[in-house]
Amino acid sequence: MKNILISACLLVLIASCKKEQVSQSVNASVSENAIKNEDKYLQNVQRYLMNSLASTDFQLLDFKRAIATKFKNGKTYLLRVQMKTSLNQFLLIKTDSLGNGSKGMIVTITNKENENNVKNKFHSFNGNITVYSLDRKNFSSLQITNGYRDKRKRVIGDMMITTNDNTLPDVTVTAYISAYDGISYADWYNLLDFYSPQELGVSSGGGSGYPETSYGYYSRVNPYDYGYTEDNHVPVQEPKQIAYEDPLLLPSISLFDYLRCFDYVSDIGAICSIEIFTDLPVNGEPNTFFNWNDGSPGHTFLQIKKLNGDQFVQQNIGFYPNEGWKTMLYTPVASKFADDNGHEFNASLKMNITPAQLHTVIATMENLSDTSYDIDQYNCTDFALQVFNSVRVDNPLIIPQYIIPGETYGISSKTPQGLYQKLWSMKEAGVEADNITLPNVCGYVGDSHGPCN
Amino acid sequence: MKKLITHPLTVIATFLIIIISGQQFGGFYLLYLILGLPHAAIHSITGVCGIALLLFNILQSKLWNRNQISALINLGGIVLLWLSLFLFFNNDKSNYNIATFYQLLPQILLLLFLIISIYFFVDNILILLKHSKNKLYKPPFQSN
Repeated sequence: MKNILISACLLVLIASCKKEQVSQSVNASVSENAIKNEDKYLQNVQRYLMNSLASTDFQLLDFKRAIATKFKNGKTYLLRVQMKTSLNQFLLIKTDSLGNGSKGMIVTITNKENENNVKNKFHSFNGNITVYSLDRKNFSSLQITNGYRDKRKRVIGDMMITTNDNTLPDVTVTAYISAYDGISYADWYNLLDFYSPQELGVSSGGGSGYPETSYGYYSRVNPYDYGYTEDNHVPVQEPKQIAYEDPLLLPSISLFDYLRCFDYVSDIGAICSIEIFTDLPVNGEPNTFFNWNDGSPGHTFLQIKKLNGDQFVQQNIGFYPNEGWKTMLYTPVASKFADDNGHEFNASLKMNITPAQLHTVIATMENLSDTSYDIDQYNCTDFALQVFNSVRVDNPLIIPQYIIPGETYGISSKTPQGLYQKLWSMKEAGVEADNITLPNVCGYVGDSHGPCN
Repeated sequence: MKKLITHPLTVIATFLIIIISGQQFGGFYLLYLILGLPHAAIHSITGVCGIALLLFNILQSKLWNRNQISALINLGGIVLLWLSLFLFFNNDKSNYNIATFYQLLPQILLLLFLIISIYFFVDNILILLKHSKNKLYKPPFQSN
């Protein structure tokens, strides 16, 4: 019995001392390591391709634009060689460390979107990825719609590609990128699906198994960041690891990546706004502090917009504790930011701001990014108000404060219902009434742009 | 050890110390029961009824001494506790407290309650069978 109790206590101690989980990690590193015996490596690759490819295809290969992704500590490489015909056509082969090829494909990416849109706008991928065998006798085609692979429309010829159905979960485009160079995140995401992680020697992290747990290894978004390759030199990159989280768990976002998107829209002539939203715990009950059924205290969050011509960025950002249960002691706990796209709201106040004020908002948010979450002294409403008031210095939004249930020291807190009551009274009094939205029951905010790299 | 695990107070204690982890707020399930009770939240009513049944049984146990009625009350109590948790999470349509199932400490405490409550449930079922006329039941140990 004594041993069981000691073990239980130890388990609880370990659990409470557990390091904060990094909810979304994107680790990419570029290795400066070169392939050993590069000359020999390229010779072997060329020999393999000469035997496998039609002579016309071989003539089209541009070995100066080759890049390798290293797996199994350099025992396996995926070598990408650009074709001269189009930036959207390239060859991908699996080789060992000496350049002996074992598997290859010719990839053609067809973007359905308007070329100008693709180059100038952040977008998710829409189009086809067609994979041919090296002799072009067989092919497989994937249709991608808004970054999602349409499995049912997959056309497979009689090509022997090992799909294994180690299929990734349907593509979740966590980054919307501008494909200036014709290759996008979604493209790569799908391509490497053809090579199973097992054969690349990729093991899943965190005790989670691939593919069920959405761990995968992918190449860089733009493989030609390095520029052109020198003769007989193949740059080597480390694979990019992406960990996914269940969206129900409210994954934390990188605030800096979200705010960086505003930098991509020019300040000159830009129209900017900030809007503060409040979501009551119980719709239609502005005096209820707590949803007695699910324990929700409501939420306050911000929506920031920047529009310039046809460029538009909108982000919905909320402040949360990293792990909700740790707030039970009413002490500061580690915080996180989450994407509140599509979040319900009961009232909002919008304020048009100048690009200079937008920079103030961004700077304030970045300064507050390390702040701890405290359910009674610095919660989501405190954060949103502080950011909102950073550009309302002369006329700050001051809301009624309440002692929340469970607070024993009599500390008054800023709450979503306090904000709701303030906005409601402002609307009634005609103060900034045009900028205040009070939906009948509740409304929902739009999508967020997402992170920018 | 068995006596401790199968004691109704152990079951009640593990039930009340389950940690709920919401998006912004969390705490012991006891808090959720108390906060929901004045508002007649269904999970609070079932939870408190379950606890009341188990406590009532403890007070009456000297009289009934682990007979069929006692076992039946225990079973009723534990089913109500399970129902309380089920209703709490089932009524949480926005998955506000879904993190309870993903974070380590809430997971451990939830698992602890489930193990102990299942053990308690099975123990009381065995008591019922022992006292019933069901010939299918064979006592685990028979002395000559």
